[in-house]
Amino acid sequence: MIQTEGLTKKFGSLTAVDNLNIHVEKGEIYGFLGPNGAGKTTTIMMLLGMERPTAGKIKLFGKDLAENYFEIKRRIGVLSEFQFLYEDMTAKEYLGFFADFYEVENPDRKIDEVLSRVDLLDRKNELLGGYSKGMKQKLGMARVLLHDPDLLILDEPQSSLDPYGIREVRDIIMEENQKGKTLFISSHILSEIERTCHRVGIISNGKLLAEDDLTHLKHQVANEMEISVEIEGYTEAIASSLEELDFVKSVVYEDSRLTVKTTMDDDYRAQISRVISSHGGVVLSMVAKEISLEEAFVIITEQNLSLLTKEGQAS
Amino acid sequence: MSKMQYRANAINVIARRDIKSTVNGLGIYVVASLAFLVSMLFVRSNLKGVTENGLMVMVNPLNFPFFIAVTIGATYLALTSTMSVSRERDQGTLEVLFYGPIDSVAYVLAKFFEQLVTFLGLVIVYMIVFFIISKLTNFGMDGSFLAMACLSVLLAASIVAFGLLLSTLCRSARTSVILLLVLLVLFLAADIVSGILNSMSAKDMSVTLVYVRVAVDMLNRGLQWISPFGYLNRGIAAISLGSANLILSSIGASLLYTIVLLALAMRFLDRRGVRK
Ligand SMILES: Nc1ncnc2c1ncn2[C@@H]1O[C@H](COP(=O)(O)OP(=O)(O)O)[C@@H](O)[C@H]1O
Ligand SMILES: [Mg+2]
Repeated sequence: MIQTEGLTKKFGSLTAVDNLNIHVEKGEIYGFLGPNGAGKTTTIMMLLGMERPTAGKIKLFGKDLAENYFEIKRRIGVLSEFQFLYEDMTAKEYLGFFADFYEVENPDRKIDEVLSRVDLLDRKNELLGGYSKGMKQKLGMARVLLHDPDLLILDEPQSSLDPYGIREVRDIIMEENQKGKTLFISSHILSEIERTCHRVGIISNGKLLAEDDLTHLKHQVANEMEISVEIEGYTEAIASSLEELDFVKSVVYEDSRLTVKTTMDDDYRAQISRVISSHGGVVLSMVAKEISLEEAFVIITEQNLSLLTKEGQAS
Repeated sequence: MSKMQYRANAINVIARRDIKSTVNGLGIYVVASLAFLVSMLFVRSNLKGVTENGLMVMVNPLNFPFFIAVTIGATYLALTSTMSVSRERDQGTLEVLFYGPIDSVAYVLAKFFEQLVTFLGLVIVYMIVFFIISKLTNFGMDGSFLAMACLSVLLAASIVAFGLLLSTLCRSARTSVILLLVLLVLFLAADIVSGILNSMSAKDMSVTLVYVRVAVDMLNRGLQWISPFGYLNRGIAAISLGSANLILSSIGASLLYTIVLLALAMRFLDRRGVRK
């Protein structure tokens, strides 16, 4: 759906985007993560042909943007990081204008539909100058949905929203994906990315450090798995037997909970359970605690840890 | 759909929106009324001439007042064109348009047609008003009045193209307007100074002043091909000489000028980008 090859953008001596190879598959929700100033917006602008790349190639829908400019633009919906609206228009007029621009059929019905999806239907006759920041962002989302695009590019879509708005936009993201739409979302609200995205690309200082599905990414970053066991009939023998196993890194017993840290290479829960039983202990519950995306993100970006192979492909 | 159909739609939608906001705004009415009042001063002085002397010396007494009215209108368009692209870029709304199916060609043409249609509306209103005045005052109107109206549309086209070019060059609406004013003052100053110097006889001039006169004259001649008003002057001269050849070539020159400037504006927009 989106494919870049060696995509690079320099602003004078600053390399904002550095030899970027990203791959977004049709029908997936792709999270594009990176700290402020990492180059996310610059990348998006190059995808849309609005910043000229210093080097590199881009394919959208498998095609060159320059050769199929209008067709491709018609199939994309873009929500920018900041909302720039015609403040002297009402929501209805604003969306009406864009409905004409994208030649939407049944514009009035469609406008009401998208406004109700972002919960702004009752404000449709108000001037946009009086809209709050969050409302403007939601109206931007409504504009994105208006022409039913196949690819949605959302730059920080939830940055100004309250918890209700965040949920509305999350629901929209999921619904659009259910309809088979592809979503490319840049964000640093990692909990949201974790909830919605199938795959993520992590960019820092213009360089792509990782591109992977969430589970695989976390496994690569974490070097240990923490398993928390609720236990009855604990004895010292249980701890010492566990410690003897070569995949166990540490064992701590506290408040009738046993915390076992193991290596990441496999799921060792069954073996742990067997050891505990063999010493007369009873396992009441056992949870493997994964590291969060946020933790993985911090590890990758702070250590500038590249999880890509030489060709820039996800390993 | 073809590229041209996509562009036609974008031009249509954007120009319509902008015309609507012009019609709903105040500026155009203020300028139209002001221009009308100024032109009426000239009509009145012509009328006074008739009543005092009992005879009409001018052949087409309404042509000049009409010309004044539309020129003021066109100058206002120079201002709004000059602000249009830079302001929309400054506000960030230009960026949002370019997420969608539009390119610099369609955008510049949309702005061009928007201004031109506004001007046509203005010219039609003035023509109706002047027709009524002609009936009331018995001042005659003939073919040269229509030629004047056509000329004014050509003038407006080149002025708008000129304004749009400045607009695509500048970062903010303010800089582009300042640039416009500076250029207009330069055009005017070169014209006036070379006029004064040319009216002086070479005998009374020092050698340096003669060189200055030649230099200013050359500069002025050059500027007359850059300034949209230069094309207007040549058009008026052609009409008053009544030479069909000169009229045709001055029409051709204005059209070419307009096309070249629009093409440059499109290129500048591409290079300068649409982002804030
Ligand atoms: N037009 C520009 N001129 C100069 N530097 C820019 C421009 N746009 C972005 N940058 C720089 O490029 C880097 C990446 O910016 P950006 O893509 O906006 O980051 P992000 O969206 O990830 O926060 C930043 O250091 C920013 O200052
Ligand atoms: Mg950004």
